[in-house]
Amino acid sequence: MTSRRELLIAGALIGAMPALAERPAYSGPNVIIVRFGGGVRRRETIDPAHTYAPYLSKSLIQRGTLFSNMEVSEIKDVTATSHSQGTLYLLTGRYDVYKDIEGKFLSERFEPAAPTLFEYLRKAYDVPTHECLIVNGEDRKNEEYFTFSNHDLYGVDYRCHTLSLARFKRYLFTQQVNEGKLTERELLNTRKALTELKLLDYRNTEPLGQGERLDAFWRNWRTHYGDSGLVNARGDSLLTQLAVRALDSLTPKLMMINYQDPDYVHWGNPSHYTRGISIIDRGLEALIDAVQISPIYRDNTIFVIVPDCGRDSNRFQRIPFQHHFNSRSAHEIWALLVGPGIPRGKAFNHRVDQTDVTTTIGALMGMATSEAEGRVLL
Amino acid sequence: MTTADKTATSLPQSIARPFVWLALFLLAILATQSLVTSVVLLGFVYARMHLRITGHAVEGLWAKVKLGIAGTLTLASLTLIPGILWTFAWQAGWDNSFNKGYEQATIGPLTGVLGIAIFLLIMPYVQIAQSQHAATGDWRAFYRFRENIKLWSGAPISAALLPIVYALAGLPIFLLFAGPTFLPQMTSYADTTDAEVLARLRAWYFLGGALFVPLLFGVKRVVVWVYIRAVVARPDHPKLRLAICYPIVAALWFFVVAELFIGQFLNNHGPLGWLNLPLIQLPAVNRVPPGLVPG
Repeated sequence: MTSRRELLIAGALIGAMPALAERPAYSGPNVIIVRFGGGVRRRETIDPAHTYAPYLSKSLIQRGTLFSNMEVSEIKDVTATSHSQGTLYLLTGRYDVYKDIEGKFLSERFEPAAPTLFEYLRKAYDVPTHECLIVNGEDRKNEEYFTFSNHDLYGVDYRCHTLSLARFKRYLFTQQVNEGKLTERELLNTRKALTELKLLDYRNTEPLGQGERLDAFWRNWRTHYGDSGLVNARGDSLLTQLAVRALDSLTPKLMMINYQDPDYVHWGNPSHYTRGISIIDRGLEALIDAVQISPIYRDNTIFVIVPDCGRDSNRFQRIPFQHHFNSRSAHEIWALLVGPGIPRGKAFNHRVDQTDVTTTIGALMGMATSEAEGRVLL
Repeated sequence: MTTADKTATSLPQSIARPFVWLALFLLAILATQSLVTSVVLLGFVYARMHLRITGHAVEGLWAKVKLGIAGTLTLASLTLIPGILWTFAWQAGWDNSFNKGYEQATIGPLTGVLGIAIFLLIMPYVQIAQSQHAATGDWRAFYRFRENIKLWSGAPISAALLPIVYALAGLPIFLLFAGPTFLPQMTSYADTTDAEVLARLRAWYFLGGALFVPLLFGVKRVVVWVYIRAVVARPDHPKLRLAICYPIVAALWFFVVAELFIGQFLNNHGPLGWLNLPLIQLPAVNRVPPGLVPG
C-alpha cells in the first residue's frame, strides 16, 4: 500500500510539471519558416519583371497565397528595420523595443521578453527540443537568443535547438579534444576556440552539450563532410544543406531557416544582393523538393516565406538598396504561404503586418499565441 | 598680378573686383562638377601655389591648363597605386567573403592593408613634391626624390599638421559624399520622379562644390606654408629627423584613410571613390550615380 508520504511526494512532483504531464502529442502540419533575409525588396523578389528569384515569383507563388503588401509597421522609436529585430517580430508576433545587451559592433544581442513560436509549440504539445530548429548562418553566431525568451511562463525549458556551423564546430572541437589525437599546440588552440564557442551560449542552456540527437546529427555530418569545413556548402547554401539533412534525420515539426547573405550589399557590391537572392531561391527549390520526396513531410508541411525586413530604395545612391536605414522601402516586405489548407494561386494586396505571421502560424499549428499582437491572415 | 586683378583694372577696382571673384568662384564650382573640368581647376590651384611661393603669377589660361594636366599625371603616378589596390581589395575581398572563400581569405584584407601602407608612405612626400612642382612649374621636380625628401626633413613638425588639416577639411567632403544615404530621411522624395531626384542631387553636389572650393584652396595654402618653412630651414641631422619624424607623420595620414573607408561603406561610389580623393588628387566632387538619368 502506498504511504501518505509517497503520495504527497508524487503529487508534488506531478504538480511541479503540470505542462509535461498534460501535453498532447503534436499531430498538426509541419511548418518551415523561411526567413528570406537579410533584407530584400519586393522588386527583386516577388516582382516577376525584376525578380532574381524566379522559382519563388513565378512557380511557388502559383501554389500558395501571397501577401504582397506586408509591412514592418512604422512605429516611432519602436520598430527597427533590421535582421535581429525583424526575426524577433516574426518569432514573437510583437513589435517590441529591443536593446542590445552585448554592445559589440555588428554583434548585437537581444533578449525577447515575449515567448517565441517554438516556446508556444513546445508548451502546447509534447515536442522534443530537437524537433524545433533554427538554422543560422555562420556570420551571426551571436543569434542564440532566438531560441527562447525571458518570459517567466516559458523560457529555457521550451527552447528550440540551433543548427549552424558554430554548433558543428562546438561538437567537433569537443570530439577532437576527447579523441586525444591533437598535438599540444593544436589542443591549446582547439580548447581556446571551444571556450569561445561555449561563450555564445551565454545563458548556459546546454551545460551537458547539445543532446544525443544533435550529437548524432553532427556525427553524421562530420562523417560525410570531414573536419576541414571546406567540403560542405558555404554561405546560405550551407543553410539549405543543414535544413535538408535536418528534415531527414531530426524531423522537425517547426523549423526556421535564417537566410542572410543578400545583406552583404552593405559593403557596396550590388551583385551580392542579387546573387544572394538567387541562392535563396535555389535553396527554396531544394527544400520544396526535399519535402515532396519525404513521406513524413509530403502533403503535411506548410512553408511560410517572409523577409526579416526590406531595403532602402534610395535613388540618391549609386546602389539604391545598399542599406536598410528605416526608410519606407525598408519597412515594405511580403509573405508567401504554401502548403495543405492554404489557398493556391491567391494574392492579396491589402496591408498586413509582419506580426500577423506569428498569429497565423499559431492558428495553423493549433496553438495559442497569447502574447502575439497580430491577426490571423487566412 | 592675378587674373582677377587684371580684369578689374579696367574698372574701378572696388566695384569690379568682387564681381570678378564671384564669377571665378562660380566657375571654380562648375569645374568641380566633372573630372575633366577639374583638371583645369587643379591648374588654377597650382598657379595659386606658385604665386604664393614665388610671388609671380602664372600667366594665361593655357599655362594653367598645362599645369593642371601635368599635376594630374604626376599625382596619379603615385596616388593611383593605393587607389587601385583598395579598389581590388574592397571588391574582390568582399566578393571572397560573400563566397566564403576561406582558403584565400587573407588576400583581400592584405591587399587593402598594402594599399594603406603605400598611401601612408607616399602622402608626406606627395605634399612636398606637389609644392616643388607648383613652385618650379616643372613636372620633373615632382620626381626629384632625394631632393624632395631632404627638403621634407626641414619642417617635419609642420608637415605633421598636414594630415590633420586634410582630415578636418575632409570631414565636410565626407558628409557631402555620405549624405545622400540619409537624404531620403530628410526630404520628402519617395513620390518624386527620377528627373526631380537628379535635379536635387545635382544641386546637392553643386552646393558641395561651393563648400569644397574654399576648403581646397585653404588646404593648399597650408601645404605651401609647410613647403616654405621647409625651404628656409637649415636642419641639423636631416637624416635622423627623417628617420624619426617621417614614420610618425605618415601614420597620421591614417585619419584620411579612415574617412575614406567609412565613407565608402556608408555610400559606395565604386572605383571612383577609391581612385580619386578630391582634396589630394582631382578636385571633382560630383558623384551623381551614372544610372540616374532623366526619366
